[in-house]
Amino acid sequence: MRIDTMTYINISLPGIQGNQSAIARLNQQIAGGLSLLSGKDDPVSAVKALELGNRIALRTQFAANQDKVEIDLNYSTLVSQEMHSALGQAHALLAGISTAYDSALRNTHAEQLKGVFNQVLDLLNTRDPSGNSIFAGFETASVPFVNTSLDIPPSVSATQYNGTAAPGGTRNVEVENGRYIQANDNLADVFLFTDANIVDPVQGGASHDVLENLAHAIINLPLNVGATGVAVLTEADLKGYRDVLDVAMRKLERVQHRIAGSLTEIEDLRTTTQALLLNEKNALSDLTLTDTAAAIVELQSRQTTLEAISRAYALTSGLSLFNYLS
Amino acid sequence: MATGVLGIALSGLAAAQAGISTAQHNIANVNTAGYRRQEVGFQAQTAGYYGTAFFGSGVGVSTVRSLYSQFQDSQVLLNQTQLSSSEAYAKQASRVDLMLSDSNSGLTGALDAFFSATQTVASDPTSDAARQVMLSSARNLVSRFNNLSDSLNGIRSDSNIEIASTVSTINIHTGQIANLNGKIAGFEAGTGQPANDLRDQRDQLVADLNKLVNVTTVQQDDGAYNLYIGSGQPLVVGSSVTQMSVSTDPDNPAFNVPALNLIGGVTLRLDASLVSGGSLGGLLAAREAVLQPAMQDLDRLALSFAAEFNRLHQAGFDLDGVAGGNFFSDIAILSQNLQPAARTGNTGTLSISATLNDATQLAAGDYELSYDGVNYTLTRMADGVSASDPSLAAVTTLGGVAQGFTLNLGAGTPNAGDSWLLRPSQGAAGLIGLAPGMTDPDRIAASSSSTDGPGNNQNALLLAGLQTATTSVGGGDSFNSAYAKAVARTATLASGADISVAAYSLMTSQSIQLQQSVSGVNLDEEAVNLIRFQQAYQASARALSVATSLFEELIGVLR
Repeated sequence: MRIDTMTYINISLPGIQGNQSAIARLNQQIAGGLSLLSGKDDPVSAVKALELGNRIALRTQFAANQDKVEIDLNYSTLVSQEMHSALGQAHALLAGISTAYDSALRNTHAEQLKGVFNQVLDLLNTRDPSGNSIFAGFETASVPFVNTSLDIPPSVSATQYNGTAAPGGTRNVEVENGRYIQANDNLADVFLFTDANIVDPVQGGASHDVLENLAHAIINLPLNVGATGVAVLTEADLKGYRDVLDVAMRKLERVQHRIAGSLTEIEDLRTTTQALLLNEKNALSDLTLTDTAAAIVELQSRQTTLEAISRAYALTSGLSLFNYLS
Repeated sequence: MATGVLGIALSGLAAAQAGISTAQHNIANVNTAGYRRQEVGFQAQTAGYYGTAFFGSGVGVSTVRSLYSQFQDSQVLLNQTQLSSSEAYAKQASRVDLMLSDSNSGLTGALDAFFSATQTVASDPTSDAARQVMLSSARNLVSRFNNLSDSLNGIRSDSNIEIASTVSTINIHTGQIANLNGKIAGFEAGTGQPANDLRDQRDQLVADLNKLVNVTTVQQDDGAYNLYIGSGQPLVVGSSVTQMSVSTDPDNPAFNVPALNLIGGVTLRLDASLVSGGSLGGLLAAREAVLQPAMQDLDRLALSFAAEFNRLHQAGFDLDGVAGGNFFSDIAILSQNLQPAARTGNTGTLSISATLNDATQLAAGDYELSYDGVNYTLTRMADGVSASDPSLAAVTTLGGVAQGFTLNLGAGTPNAGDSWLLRPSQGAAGLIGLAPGMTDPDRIAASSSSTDGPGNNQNALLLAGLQTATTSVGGGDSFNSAYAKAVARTATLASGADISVAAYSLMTSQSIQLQQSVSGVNLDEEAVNLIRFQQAYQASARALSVATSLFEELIGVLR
C-alpha cells in the first residue's frame, strides 16, 4: 500500500502521545495514592466509593454516639450505686432502732440518717462534667431535687422537684441506623412515687416522698411525748419509713438494671460497628487506593514502550531517497 | 503543434519541464494541509500522415490533475466531525465530572459532616460547642452548594463564549469558501481546466468547517460546493453565504444557541437536534446531556434539602423555648423561579401563580405550561411526560404522580398558543444560605417542646434522621443517594465520551492514512519522478542536439 511521507514520519506520534499521557496519569496516581482520579475513570467504582464513604461517615458518627452514651451511662451507674448504698444504709439504720430505745440512742441514729439524707440529696443533684444535671430529665440546668427540711430551724417539708415530670425527660441517642438508646434516667418516680400498699408516716396516703420521709424520721426520731421518755414515733412509723425506702430501692434497682442492659447493648453494638467500619474502610481502600506495585510495573512498561517508539522514530525519520541522490 | 524533429524534441523538453515543475510543486507542498498531490497528464500529439505512414508529432500536456479519492475524503470528513464532537463533549463532561466527584469540591463530604454535627447536637443538645460546630458545618455545606453552582455556571458561561467564538469562526470559513467557490467557477469556466490548488484550499476550509459543525456538501457542475446544515438549511450556496449568529434559548434563557439569519430577517435557532457533529454539536450535546442535568439535579437537591430541614426545624424549639423558624434560606426565595413566566409571543393576558407544596416530590428540571384554547397542558421537559385538562389545577399531576406544586389562576384570560415556563428549583443551589437568624447556636431547634428544658433532643433526632430518609428527593431518594445518582450519570457520560474519543481518533487516523495513501506526497516517489523527468529532459535535449547537428550537416552539404 502506498504511504505518503507525512504519515510515514508522523505514524509514531500517536503512540508517543498516548504513552506520555499514560505515564503522566500513572505518576499522578502514585503520587496521590488514589487510583480513581475522577468519576469517569471507573463510574461504577466511583459511585460505590461515594456510597461507602457515606456509610463510613454515618457509622463513624454512630460510634462516637455510642462512646458518648456509654460515658453518660457509666456516670449514672456510679451515682446510682452510691445512691442505692446510701438508701440501704438508711434502711439498716431504721431497722436497727426501736422506739423503746432512749432518746440519746435514737438521736445518734437520727444524726447518722442526716448524713445519709444529705448524701442522697447531693447524689440526686449530680451534674456531669458539662455541668448538666443528670437526673433532671430535660431540665438539665436546674437543681432537680430541693428539700429544705434540715435547714435551720429544721422543719419537715415536701421535696420540690424541678426536673421534667416522670416518665418524660429521657433523652434517646441514635447509636445505629434507626436504633436508639436511652442516655439518661428520670428519678422523679423513684423518690416521689405513688403506692397504696404502704402506709406513709408523713402523708398518710398513697403518695410517698422518700426525702420527706427521711427528714421526718431525722427530726422526730429523738423526740419524746411531752416529758415522758416515750418516743413520739411508733414502730408502725418506723416500718412505714422502711417500706418507703424498700420501694424506692426496688425502683432504683430497676433503673440500674436498665442502665446495665443498655451498657451491654452498647458493648455488643460497638463490636459490630467496629467490624463493619473496618470492612467498609477496607472496601473503600480497595476501590480507591492505588496498587502502587502494579502502577510502578505499568509505569516501567510504558517507559520501555515510549523509549522503543522514540528509537524507531529516530531510525525511520532519517530515511529519504534524497540522501542517496547526488 | 510541434513539427519536424526539432518540434518533437521541443515538445519533449516542455513535457519534461512540466513534469519536473509538478514534482517540485508536490515536494514544496509536502507539509501543506489539505494539499493533494498533482500529476501531469501527457498526451501524444496528433500524428501526421506523410506519404507512407503516420508519424508522431511529439507530446503535449493535456492537464494537471489532483489525485484523490472522493470516498476517502468523505470518510475523513465523517470521522473528523464525529471526533471533534466527541472531543468537545468529553472535555465538558470531564469538567463537570471532576467537579461533582472530587471529594474536595463535591457535596458528599460536606453533607456527611453537617449531619454528623447534627447527630452530635442530638446526643448532647445542651453543648454549646456541638451547636457551634453544627452551625459551622451548615455554613460549609451551603458554601459548597454555592461554589458548585458557581462553577457549573462558569462552565455554562464558558460554553456560551465558545459557541459565540465558534459561530464567528464558522462565518469566516463560510465566507472564504463562498469566495473560493466563485473563483473556482470562474477559472474553470474560462480555462476548462481544474483549478487544483484553489480546490485544495476550498476543500481544506470545508474540512476545517466540518470540525466545527457537521455540514452536508453537494458539488455543483461549475465546481462550486453548496453546504447545508441541520435539516437542510443552506449555509453556502455558490458564492452566497447565510450568516450564523448567537441567540438565547427560549427554554433556558441563560444558555446561548447558534442561529441562522435567513432571508427576510428570520432567525432560525439551531438546537442540539439540528446541530450535529463538530465541536459545536459536541458542545451543545454535552450542555444538554451533562451540564444542564447536573445543574438541575444540584438545584433540586438544594431546594429539597432546605425545604425538609426547614420543615422539621420549624416544628422544634430552641434553647429559649422559641419555635424554630427557618434554618436555611426560605423556600420562597429558593423556588422563586417556580412562578410561571409568560413566553415572549403570548397574546393573552392571563397571569398564573404557583405554590410549592412538597419539595420532596419535585422532579429535576423545568416545566412548560401551554394553552390550546380548551385545555391546559403541563409538560415536564426532562422526559416529555405531560398532562392535559381544561382545569389548571388538574394538570399538576403527571402520570398519577403529584409534582409537588399547585397552579392558581390569576387575572386576565389566555389565548390559544400561550405558554409559560416554570423552573421550580432553578438557581436554588446558588441562593441557598443560612436563614438570617441562624447565627446564634442557641437558636438551633433541638427540642420538641416549648416548655421542656434544654435537655430535650427529640427534634434534633428527627433532623439527624433526615440523612437516611429515603423520600427526601424526588419522592424516592435520600440526599446522598440523589447526589450519588447525579455523580454516576455524569461519570458514565464522561467515561463514554472518552471511549468515543479514542474510537473516533483511531477511525479518523485510519481514514486519513487511507486518504493520504492516495493524495499525500511521498518524497521518495517525487525524487524518482524528478529523476525520471530529468532523464526525459536530457533525452529530449540530446534529440534536439541530434536534430541540430543533422540540420547543420545538411546546410554544410548545400554550401
